[in-house]
Amino acid sequence: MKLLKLVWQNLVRNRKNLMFSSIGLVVGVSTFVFFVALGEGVRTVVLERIFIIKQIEVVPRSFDLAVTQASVARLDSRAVDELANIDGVVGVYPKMKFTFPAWATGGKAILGKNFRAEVIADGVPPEIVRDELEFGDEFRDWEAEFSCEGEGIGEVVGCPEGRRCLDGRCEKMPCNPQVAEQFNPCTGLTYCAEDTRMCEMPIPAIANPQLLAVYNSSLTTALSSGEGAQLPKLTEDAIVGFTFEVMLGKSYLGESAQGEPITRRVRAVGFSSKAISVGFTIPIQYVKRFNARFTGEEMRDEYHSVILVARNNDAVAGITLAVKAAGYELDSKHAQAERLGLVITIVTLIFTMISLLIVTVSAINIAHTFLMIIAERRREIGILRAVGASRGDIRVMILGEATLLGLVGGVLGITVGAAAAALVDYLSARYVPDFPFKPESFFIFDGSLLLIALFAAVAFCLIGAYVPATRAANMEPARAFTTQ
Amino acid sequence: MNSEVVKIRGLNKWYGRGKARNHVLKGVSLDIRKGEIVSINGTSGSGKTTLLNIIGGLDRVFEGKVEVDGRDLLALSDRKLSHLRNETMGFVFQAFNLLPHITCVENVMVPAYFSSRGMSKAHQRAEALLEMVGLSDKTNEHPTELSGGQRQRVSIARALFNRPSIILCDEPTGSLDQSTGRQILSLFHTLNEDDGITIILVTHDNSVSDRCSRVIRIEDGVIKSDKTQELRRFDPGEVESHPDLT
Repeated sequence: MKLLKLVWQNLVRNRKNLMFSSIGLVVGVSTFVFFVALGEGVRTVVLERIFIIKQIEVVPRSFDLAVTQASVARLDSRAVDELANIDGVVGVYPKMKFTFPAWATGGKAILGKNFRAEVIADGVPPEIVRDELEFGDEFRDWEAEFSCEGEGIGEVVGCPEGRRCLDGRCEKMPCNPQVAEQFNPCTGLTYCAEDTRMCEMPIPAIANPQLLAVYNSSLTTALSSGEGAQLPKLTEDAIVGFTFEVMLGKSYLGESAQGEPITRRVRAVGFSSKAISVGFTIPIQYVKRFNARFTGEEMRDEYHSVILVARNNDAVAGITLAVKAAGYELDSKHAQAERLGLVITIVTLIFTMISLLIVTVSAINIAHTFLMIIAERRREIGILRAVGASRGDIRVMILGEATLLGLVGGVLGITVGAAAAALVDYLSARYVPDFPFKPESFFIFDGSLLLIALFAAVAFCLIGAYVPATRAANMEPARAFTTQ
Repeated sequence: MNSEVVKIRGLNKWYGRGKARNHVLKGVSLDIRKGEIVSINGTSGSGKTTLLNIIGGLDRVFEGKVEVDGRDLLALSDRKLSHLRNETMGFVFQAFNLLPHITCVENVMVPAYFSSRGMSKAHQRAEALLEMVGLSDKTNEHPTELSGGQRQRVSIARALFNRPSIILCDEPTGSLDQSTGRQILSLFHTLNEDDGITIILVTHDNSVSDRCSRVIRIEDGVIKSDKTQELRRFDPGEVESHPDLT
């Protein structure tokens, strides 16, 4: 510590020389910090928002049969239990798609006009998304049995809207779809269904944020061209509460093999990354019933995919192997995600190597500068030795100067790197058009990254100064006074 | 009887290699006792500065035995030798060898950075030493702002910082005018008389040798003569008095 003052004095005294030689250090550290933060930021967006790699979607293994594909292993309840027991799996949720045609109409309230479209939908267990939704309680199977107490209607007796309590059970209230709504007993969100002539709760539905991102960035442009009003950009808040009608069992493509088509109202209750990418997702109990109705009872227990949630990214590889060994496959998105993640890692590595190369060259430059400084300070080193400095003291002083230089250079490099990143984010926000999943920042500055950068800066300075420090320490004091 | 602070036996020193090898010191043996003011005289290239450097532990490439304060210099590790220099010896050079980028008081304090003692009273001691050598008003000035005599006094103050028992001086008055040189010598006399410090001077100036208690003459690496003489201190009128020197 006593020598620290001398070290600081020497650093300040030689600041011009050292400043020039440390430019390479600052450039190298800032490049390293910039590209590693960029790589981490892009990886996070790609692997946690676009392709959520910790969520592995398992599908039945299939093979091509000339004109069609056939599945070998079914994904049923037994399969779900088997997958849940794989080491590293912390969550399992099966998904079931509609196995019958359906189409939807509606949209005037938020889009300005009604649209009609084929429906792609699936179901998930409500409990796995409930915590993600602001109105999570609404995402449930409203057809389930509800118990109640007393006599009355609705929440007063513990029943959902549009139901009355009879003998401890909530029963739907009958209604007449031919009369106006105000004359029907269907209260709150319930409506009078034509086929059941009962007050029905709308089927709760969630959508994937990806769908909203695609709509806002691409569909608004594509569908707004030509005559007519522009489609508005939408937010999640604007869509929650939106209702539309869905015809189940029939669409433009045809009718289901069995069961009369029915119309149901669907109500958006939120967004989740676990929802189907294109379409909407409803509680799986509804899908089971509809599949059984329109396709056959055996479809009640046939899942189309199962999402496994991994404990962490490191567990994914092991889970993948276990899934394949069990006779299942992974959805193609997962392979894409892995490849993309690998590309990002390789590119980040390349830029990291380049920045390390810059820092290495800088270390050589620093070595040269220190050699030059020590040559100039021969007499001074001789004086210090004469008054009692040992070889170790001289070495510590020189290396101390290098350490301080590394710290200063490292901090400057980190600052420059962070400033460059901030500039990129600013320019991106200002000039780059919106695209799906455009992040607010392309960079993630982890505390460990900054520590590594600082450590690297100090380490390379010490490496550069080691030979000069040793040379200074081994200088014979007597010769220092005789040679100038 | 005074004990020996320096004991040299069979000292040989060479510079260079092969055909260019130069035998600078040839079997030198001598003892220096505590409290002596010794002048080592000789012409340029006689080996006197080399001898001084070896006694001071600044040159460790030699044959023979050199003991300072009872310790064999070749047997000591670098750290122990450095510690010995720090605690036991002080150096005064012809070129002063002050650090120009720090102030006078900081120059005097430099030995404290390598001492086993703490730094808490170092500044205070340095100021006291500057006062002792008559430079209390130059504490915060840089050496470049001082005259030659003043710089040499700062150098002496630095040499005294750790209360050494030996001061080694290489041509201490070589860069000074006669009057200033007498002031410096007078200071050495005072240190020798008051504190019993042994002073070893290398000089080619006979007027300096005349003011020492012992004169050792070296020629061509060999001691030619070694005479003890009466120490002639300066009369008050011989030295231009400085108000702070008493």
